[in-house]
Amino acid sequence: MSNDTRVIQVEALARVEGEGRFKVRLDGDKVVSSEFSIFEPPRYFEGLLRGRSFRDAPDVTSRICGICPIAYIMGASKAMEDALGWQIPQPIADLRRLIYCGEWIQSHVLHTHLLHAPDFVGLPDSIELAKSNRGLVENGLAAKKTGNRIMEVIGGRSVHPVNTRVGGFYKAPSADEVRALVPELERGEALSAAALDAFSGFDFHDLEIDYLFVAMRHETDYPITEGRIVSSDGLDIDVHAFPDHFEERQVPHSNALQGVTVDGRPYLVGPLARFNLNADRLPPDILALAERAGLVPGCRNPFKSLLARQVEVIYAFREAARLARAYTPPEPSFVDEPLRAGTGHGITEAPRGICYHRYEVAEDGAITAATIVPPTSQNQRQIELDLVSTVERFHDLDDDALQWRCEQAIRNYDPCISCATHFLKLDVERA
Amino acid sequence: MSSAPDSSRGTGPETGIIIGVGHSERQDDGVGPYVAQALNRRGLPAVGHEGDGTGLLDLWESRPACIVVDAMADAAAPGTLRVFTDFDDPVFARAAFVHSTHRLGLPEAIALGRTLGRLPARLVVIGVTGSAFDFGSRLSPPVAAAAEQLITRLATEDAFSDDVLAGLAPV
Repeated sequence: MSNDTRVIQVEALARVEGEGRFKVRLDGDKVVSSEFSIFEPPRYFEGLLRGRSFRDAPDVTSRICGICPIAYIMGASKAMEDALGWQIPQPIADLRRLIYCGEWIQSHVLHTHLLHAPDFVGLPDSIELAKSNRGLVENGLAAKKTGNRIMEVIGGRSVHPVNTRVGGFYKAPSADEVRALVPELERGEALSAAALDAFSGFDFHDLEIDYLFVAMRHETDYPITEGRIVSSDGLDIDVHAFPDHFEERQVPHSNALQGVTVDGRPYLVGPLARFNLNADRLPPDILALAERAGLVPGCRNPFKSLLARQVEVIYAFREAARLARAYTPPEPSFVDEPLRAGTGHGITEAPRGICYHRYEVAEDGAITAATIVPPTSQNQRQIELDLVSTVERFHDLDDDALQWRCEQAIRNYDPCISCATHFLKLDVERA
Repeated sequence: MSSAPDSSRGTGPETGIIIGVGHSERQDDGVGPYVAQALNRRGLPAVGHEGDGTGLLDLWESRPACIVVDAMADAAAPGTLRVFTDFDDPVFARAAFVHSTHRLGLPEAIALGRTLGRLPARLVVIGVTGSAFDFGSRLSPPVAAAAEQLITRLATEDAFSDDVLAGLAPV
């Protein structure tokens, strides 16, 4: 190691989901190496699904993550329904979109208000933030409570909901229960717009990265549960073609596979990708709020992912209220048709980005093969490249400040390490 | 048996609440929900909770009193019971009520609740030192024994009283 070598590292990252570390070696102002390592042990969900009934997949895979169980429930359900050839009536699809709005709200708000916002005001955590900006923390807690409430009313409970199944819902909530959510959802939208206004005053560090954005896209709606897969370089494919265009690769320093395109390019999924590829699907007044806050379509500043996330919170409240007002209980509340052998693909927009499922099912409904590609796996290689960009752009900072900036850059992703291992620790090494 | 204080019975927001924090499928981490379930069967206002701090704030903020039962991963002998009412006590900070690197846990919920004025007037945390935190729903023998002691002690009509709590273990 030369005298100009610096090592910036964090052994166990905080305010992220799961266990990971990061180490960057820097020679002068050039990064020699960057490793984002997920050391949370592999969890073998795909293996333990083999031999089980197709009906188990949503509940088993929901246990991959306590923050985004709906993403797994919906992705697995959609893939199974694709394999079995079951068609889901619109009222059930609408109820799925409504509960998914609840997950977006509670997951996004936990990150924007309580985990990521402290970085932008130089505070270590939400407890210190509450001392200096009580209103912002109260705002987030109130919004999160409403997101949880949606999941409780529709899913039976806010963590690992129990009312969902392949084909729909065990029991449809009553119209009164769902419509009673509307006033709280309207208040939630107003609260979230106020929070976006507060976030717009943050210092978003000057950094632009040339991302390949990948997200779902729907004919009319901002994508959550339905749509094709599109990218910023013109890809436009059906979910069945996902394996033809994307793959996962193993790297020695991480227990999570890294997603890349089949020609080896890293890509970015999540709120910034969704916003940039679907800004025209937002209601015009919400897009105007985003632009007023400093988030304009084409944004390549990863630190502004905070704004994209909060814009999506506003949208999720708006959409949830629309769906709740129009709700009548689907009858029956689920589809259950004859089985057949088949292969199915399912994809939805989890809070952190697209989450892909593929299953092969035998004639008796037993699962013979399972593949799950969560958003943090797909973002993992791009996170390493963001660390390179961050360290090279801000190398004049002292080691402590640079380490914090790197941690903040990782938190731009709200990474879910537990999902990625189905994966954090930070090292900066200066040469 | 002494008479019940108003804060210890019923399920509405006017009553106290006992919250058993933990994961029932992670061996000794499930001691909190185990105790809560047993007390609930005996008619006490007790609920299990997976420990997300924002959810704890919602559960206890409107209550006059709250007892939280949670597993600890500290160096004491398995099954050791500790009663905490002073959350500035360094022993509490060292008790390792670790929840998650992501979500807020019990210590963070208490700190946030104090800052925001969202704690019950009386908050007691009962920690149970665990030894096994792997997959499985069985409590280890010393933790199971401690859980039964706790259930017996709290299954009185004055579970929230100083006498009951003082009989458990030193603060």
